[in-house]
Amino acid sequence: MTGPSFGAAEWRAIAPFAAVIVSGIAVLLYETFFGDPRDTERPLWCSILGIAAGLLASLLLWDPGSQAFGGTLSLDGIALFANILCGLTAMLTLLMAPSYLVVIGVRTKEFYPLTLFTLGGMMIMGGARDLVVLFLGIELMSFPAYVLAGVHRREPRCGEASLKYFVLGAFATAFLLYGIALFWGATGATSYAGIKAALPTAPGLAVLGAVALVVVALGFKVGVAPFHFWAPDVYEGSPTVVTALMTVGIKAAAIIAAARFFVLTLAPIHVEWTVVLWWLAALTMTLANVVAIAQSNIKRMLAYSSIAHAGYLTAAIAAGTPRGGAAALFYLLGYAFMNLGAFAVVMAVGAKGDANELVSDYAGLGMRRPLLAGAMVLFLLSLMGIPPLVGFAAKLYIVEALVDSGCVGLAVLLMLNSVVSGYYYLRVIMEMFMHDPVKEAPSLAPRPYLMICVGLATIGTIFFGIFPDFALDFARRSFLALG
Amino acid sequence: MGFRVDASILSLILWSPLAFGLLLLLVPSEPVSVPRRTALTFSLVPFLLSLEMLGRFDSSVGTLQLRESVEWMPSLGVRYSLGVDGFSIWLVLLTTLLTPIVLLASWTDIRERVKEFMFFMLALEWAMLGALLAADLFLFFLFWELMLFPMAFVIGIWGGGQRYYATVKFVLYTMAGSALMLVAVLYLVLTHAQTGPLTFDIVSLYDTRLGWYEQTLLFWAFAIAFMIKVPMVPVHTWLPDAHTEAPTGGSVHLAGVLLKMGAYGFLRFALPVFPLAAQDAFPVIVALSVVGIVYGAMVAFPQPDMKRLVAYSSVSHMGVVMLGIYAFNQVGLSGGVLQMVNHGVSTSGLFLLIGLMHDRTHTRQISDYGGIWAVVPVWSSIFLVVMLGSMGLPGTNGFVGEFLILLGAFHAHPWAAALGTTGVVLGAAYLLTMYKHVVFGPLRNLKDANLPDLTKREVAALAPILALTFLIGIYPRFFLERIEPTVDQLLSRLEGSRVAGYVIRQEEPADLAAPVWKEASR
Repeated sequence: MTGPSFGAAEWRAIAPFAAVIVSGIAVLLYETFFGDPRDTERPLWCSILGIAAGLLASLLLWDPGSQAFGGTLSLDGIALFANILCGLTAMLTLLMAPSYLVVIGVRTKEFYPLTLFTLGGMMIMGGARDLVVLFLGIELMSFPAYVLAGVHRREPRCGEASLKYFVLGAFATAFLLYGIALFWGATGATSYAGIKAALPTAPGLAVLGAVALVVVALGFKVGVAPFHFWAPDVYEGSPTVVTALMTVGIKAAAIIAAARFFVLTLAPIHVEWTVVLWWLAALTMTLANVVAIAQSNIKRMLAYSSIAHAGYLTAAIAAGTPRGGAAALFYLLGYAFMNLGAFAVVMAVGAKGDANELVSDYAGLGMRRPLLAGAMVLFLLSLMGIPPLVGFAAKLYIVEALVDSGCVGLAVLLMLNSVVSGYYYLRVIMEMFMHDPVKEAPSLAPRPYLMICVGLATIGTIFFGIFPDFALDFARRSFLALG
Repeated sequence: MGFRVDASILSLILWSPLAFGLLLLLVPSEPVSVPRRTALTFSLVPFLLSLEMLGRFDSSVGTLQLRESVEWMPSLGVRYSLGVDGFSIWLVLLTTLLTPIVLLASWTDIRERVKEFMFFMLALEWAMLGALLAADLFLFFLFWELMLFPMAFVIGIWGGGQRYYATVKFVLYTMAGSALMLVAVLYLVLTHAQTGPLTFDIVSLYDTRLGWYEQTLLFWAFAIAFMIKVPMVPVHTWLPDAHTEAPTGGSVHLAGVLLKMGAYGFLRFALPVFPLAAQDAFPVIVALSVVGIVYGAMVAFPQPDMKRLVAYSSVSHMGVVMLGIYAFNQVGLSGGVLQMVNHGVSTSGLFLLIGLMHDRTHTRQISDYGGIWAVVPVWSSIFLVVMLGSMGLPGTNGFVGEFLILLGAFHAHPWAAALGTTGVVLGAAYLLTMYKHVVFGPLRNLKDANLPDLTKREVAALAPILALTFLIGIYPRFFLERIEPTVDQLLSRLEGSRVAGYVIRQEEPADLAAPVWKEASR
């Protein structure tokens, strides 16, 4: 490893991260000392501007051969994909936030800088090429997220979510540290390149133990069964806007980090870890889809649905090939649009407290708000995997990667699972269009930003469904360039 | 035709319903006559375009014609490519013809959310046309899945009392079938890519080299999806529910075209891509067809609900179609393809007539009717003609199809043909019994005394069905000569595989033969 230097390569690799973090700090300080407590526009747009600067920097500065800080961080194709994906997710989340936070009665403006810090962590995770840097990224991502989960202080469910998330998250981080230590012991390296080079000669048992510990830690962040028990409670208890960020952004960062580490670094021992991921994926998707059927609260249903999608993503990595990694990346892109869209609709329908969170509260929405309900139908059909929406293209690529690597059984299981998932998604659709409203619905206040988010998510869901090619191609080339 | 559309006729046919459907959403929904008339006018355009297609169709060629092909997703080898041949041409025409009929017949049936109903009908037409015209496996699968949802909405929003149950059952059954098919599609394409280019083009995929075990597993993955749609016993149970709960327009499209997709899938994919496995599967398919014929007829017999009775008769009739396809000779196959159209015509007509009667009396129970000939002579006589067509009386469409099928099947498997014939006899029995109860005898329900007969609009909707009943029955050559070249081509492919089959059987079993769950412990 070269000594600590801070040259042009370092600046380039870290610029997007710096843009986001600096704007986060600026927003935090300015709003604390000078901000008008009722003005949500300025912090919102300053934060979005910061993210936009980060995305612009990523687009301008990325380089397939990028290496910085002695090869521990990079801004290569995968990192660019992660930055754009997580950046867009954070932007949409921020855009949804103001009107929703007002409705639930949260006026704290820490929400905006905290989201930016979380995004900074995700960006580090996307570019990490060293387990220690990965650890830094996870911590930077998670701590603001623990706070965000509890941002609605007076709501007991919210406090419970935050505490649960924090305790179990800290526990999972400990697993990661043990894993890093074991890797260090077994291979003498924490950098991906070093680990990969040392794998053939490393003691097998220690490596397997290290892999297992990393699987547990990342599995926790993604919400893979059997490390998912926190997820439904946290996703249900947190404010919906935070749930949207957690189910999409945090999951994306962890999956991208896992894809890079497993598919590229641990390629020499893929026979061992693909077995583990095969079973985890099979267990996760089956369990989550079956349990989701029984849910009557739409947030909890979407929570289980997001666990099921974590299972599909794990299956993509379990293919063990760059094709699988690229499929996971593309799936995350599609998932971001459809899931954020679904949560945006949940927010638009939701009211103060727990109101309108039950599936039965959606009865007759198709008559009352045809456009909103129509968008929800698109998101749900996409989550189900129906062409020509992005969910289908994404699932198709995963199945293709699985069949290509010989995992036909897992591919069949995945497709059967999406049939099962059809049952609970369909129920919401039928509730909206085929039932008459059971009770007088409260009139919903106009929320322009939220509607913009729904519109953007709709466009993304349709556009990437019909033209998935270039995004997937980019992901595939990024993996092959590193493989 | 006064106009010529030289560019891409198939694309125009395919996309015009969707474009018009979207346009329709901009039309004011009040008064309801506005969306009704607009939709009817719109729906005539694809029909006229498909007549133009018929004019350009070259009846001496068996391969896909009027091809269009544009690159779509190069990294997957997916192209937007369309084509039409003897298997699909009549079904395309049937689809575009049934849509205006359905819209015309739904005039009084659908009173709420008329505009949305018309939109879903046009969307359904679009999706069905897409599946029929696709010359790319990806495109086919896309429309195959897409077809489900307009129909599900039609049943779920405008359906009867049990509509939720029927909708969920309909969607999940079909999705379950296509789940396996998608994996098989990708396996097939990736296997083909090992020796050739990565492509979803149907005709190229016909030449995929597959071992016998692979063929068998892939064939069944496709076949199960198609069997659900046909529907064949024992995966038919969604059909009676869907039919019974659907509004008339939904039932007509369901019976008219949607059910044909299963048999069409066999002809287009399962047989030519996996010729050996498909032929080896004949004991199972033939047995299930015969069981379907007899079982469908027996269950139809005691049904108290007219619509349910016709729904079960569909199970029986589609069994006949499958029997014809599995005769694997020119007569049987051509008869099967023609009978698909016949069934579409006759059963649609029956559902329409039952629906029109239901609009008047709000009941479909056979026991509520009796002796209505004197009250509604026009309805009764049209019903008689369409029903005779469905039973296969000589001179009507059903006779030609069933005769060819039984002739072909008798050559191939005499016992199955003999059993299948009983289904035809039973078909006459349950339909005539129903007709006797409903139309003849003394007037049972006094409220029926003032029943209005069919209006001019309704007769206009039924006229094309009557015309086709006789046209196909009297001059089937016009239809068959466009079907036969394609049938011959399929037969030579099947023949060729039988010669090559000996070699393929000697090859090593493929990896796929190992139990799939073992892959977890690779």
